[in-house]
Amino acid sequence: MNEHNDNYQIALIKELTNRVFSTGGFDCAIVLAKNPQLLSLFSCLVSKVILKSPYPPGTNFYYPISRDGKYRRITILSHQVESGLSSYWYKEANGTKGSECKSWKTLENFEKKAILAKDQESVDWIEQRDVSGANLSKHCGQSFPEIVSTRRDFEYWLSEDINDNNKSLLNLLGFKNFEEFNGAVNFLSPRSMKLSKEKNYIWINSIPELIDNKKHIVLLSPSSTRFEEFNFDINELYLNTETIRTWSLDELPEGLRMVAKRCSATTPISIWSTKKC
Amino acid sequence: MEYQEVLISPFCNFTTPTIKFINIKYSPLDEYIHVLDKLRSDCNSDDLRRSVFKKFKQLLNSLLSGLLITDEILDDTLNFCKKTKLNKQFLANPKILYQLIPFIEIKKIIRESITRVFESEIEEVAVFCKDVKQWEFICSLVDVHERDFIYPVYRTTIRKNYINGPLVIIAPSYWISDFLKYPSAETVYVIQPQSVGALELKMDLFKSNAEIDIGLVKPVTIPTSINELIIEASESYKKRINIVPIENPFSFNRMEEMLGALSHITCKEIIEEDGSVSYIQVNKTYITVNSNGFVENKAFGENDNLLGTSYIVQNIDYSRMSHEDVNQEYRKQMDKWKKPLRDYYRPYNLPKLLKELGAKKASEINIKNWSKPASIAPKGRFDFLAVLTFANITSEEEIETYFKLASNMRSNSISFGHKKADVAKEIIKKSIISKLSNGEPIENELSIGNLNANILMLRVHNV
Repeated sequence: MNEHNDNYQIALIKELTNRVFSTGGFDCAIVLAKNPQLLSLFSCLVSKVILKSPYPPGTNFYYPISRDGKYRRITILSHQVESGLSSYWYKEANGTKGSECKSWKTLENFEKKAILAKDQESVDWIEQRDVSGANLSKHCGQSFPEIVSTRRDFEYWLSEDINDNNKSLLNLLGFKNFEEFNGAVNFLSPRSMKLSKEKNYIWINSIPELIDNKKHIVLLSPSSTRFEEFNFDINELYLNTETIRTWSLDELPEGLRMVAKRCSATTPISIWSTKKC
Repeated sequence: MEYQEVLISPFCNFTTPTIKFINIKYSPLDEYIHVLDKLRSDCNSDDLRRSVFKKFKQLLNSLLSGLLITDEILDDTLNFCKKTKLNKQFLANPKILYQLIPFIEIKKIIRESITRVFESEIEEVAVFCKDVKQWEFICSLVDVHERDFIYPVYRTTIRKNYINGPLVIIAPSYWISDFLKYPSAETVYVIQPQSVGALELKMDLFKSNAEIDIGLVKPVTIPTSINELIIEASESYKKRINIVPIENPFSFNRMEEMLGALSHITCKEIIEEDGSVSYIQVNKTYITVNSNGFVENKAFGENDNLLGTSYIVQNIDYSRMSHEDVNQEYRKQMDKWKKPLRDYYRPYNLPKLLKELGAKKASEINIKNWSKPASIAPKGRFDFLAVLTFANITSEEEIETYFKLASNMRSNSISFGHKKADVAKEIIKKSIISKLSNGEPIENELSIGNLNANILMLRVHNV
């Protein structure tokens, strides 16, 4: 491993994360490697989404509407700078159902009062009802895939200096301490899994029951006590998924193909799509 | 220690793993394996005879792991055989085995194997060791100039790390087949008796119905090579008059059958009641019976002792269980509260009774539906509580179990594999509880319908 290039396994996870979570095509990738927890953090590193000022069109906010602490849901339409003045156009629902109106505020005034919403996905955001200040679900400014796993082992890997650059993964991910990480990254129990509204999931030593229009990266360890069950669970998922396509090495986009090829004898992978391409 | 940090890494830094078998041809060892197999077929299903076989099997396990057999252990084995008072005819083979042990020079095997490894390696070589004691033992055997080029790795290291250099493991390959299939090091040397032969190592995780490849690449077969190492037996061995001739060579399967597929390389060692060694996985939840006769689920950590545990259900084979078996078992468990509803002698009074117990929707029709074996359970919490109370199910723990059961039956988010494992565990657990409460003995093997379980009986003072 040289200083400027990632180790092959890290490179593989980064490529897969991009392909599964952002640039499309793939819906599920299953990877066998010795350190699922550690690799999942690299996946988080690549798929971290930061929302910061100036906010792009489509960003959802809460905006105060009265003195009694009520907030209305609004969505940014545009950000512009005119003669040195930075401002936003945004839309909000207008009393009568279905109609909306446009408003304008300077960036400074807007950002002083508006609160970034956790829900950046809903298409009917502005049509949902007003909420009181106590019930807002705020966004911490960055988002990660949800991890289906216990938190065990994560603290250890987060504090390790991985690439000899005097930076722990915790630092690389932009956190000061483990508590901050815990607040920002959501963990789900593998057994009583009810998938939330989020789209992207990382599974550690367990396998989803359904792909269900979500995106999954599944990381498995050969030394897991459940190793014998993995093949069975993968089979179930495969058989339960309609219009499934599994990819072969030659069909992959070039960047991923190169690194997948290097890993082929050490890190077995399976990549699936659920829509016909 | 600096070099270790480079060589041992949580990431895989190699691309082309190979496995090199060093198959040892050594007459005293081959004879021992052969006689042990004969002893095994002499045992039939007699427990006492089997316990003698297990003692000698354990000695072979030690030898194949590159461990020294002390005089103390050997004496212990001899005394054990004497105490059994088994007939002379049966004890003839144990006697040969006992006499063979001193001829098997484990030091020579290790020394020559490591020398063989260094014929093709110029890098530092990792040697898998059971513990520090074995590492010191191995160090004492190799030449001074070789000592600087070997370093130890232990089970805990290898679970989560890759070795980015050659690794030597003294063990028959079938003990570590999964470990070898998903490589831990660029070159793994496996030092084993030639009778084990070579193992085909295919990564078969991504095989659907054992047929269709669903992986990115077709199952990769790890390249292997066999290197024969002939070790000369001592003159005193050769002079023995009664060397047992080896009729037909051993097959891989027979070795595995004889010695089992688990070992200290991937598992934690525990001592069974008869003094033999067995293996369990670290951090896996097992059904156990404690010394007070209570059944509990328990996981054992790397350094945990087993004090207070009498039995461990080592392995439950539920592969022959079908969807139908699982559903049937679920329904059977639910029938505990359904039957009282169906059997109640004044069904027209049920709505009133259940309402008094807190039910909200206890209409005649609903009650009839709830009590049917094909339905699951009332959806409303208060309704479910009422019917459970009606059936005299009142302990918090039991109520919790039924709620969990209902949600399992309804849920699509728990995989069938999990359901199967859960149900299988529940069945085995119940059977053990009923055996304990009836004062029936717990035996090594337990079969119920399509399920089979192996149970380990532990020594009272297991540490």
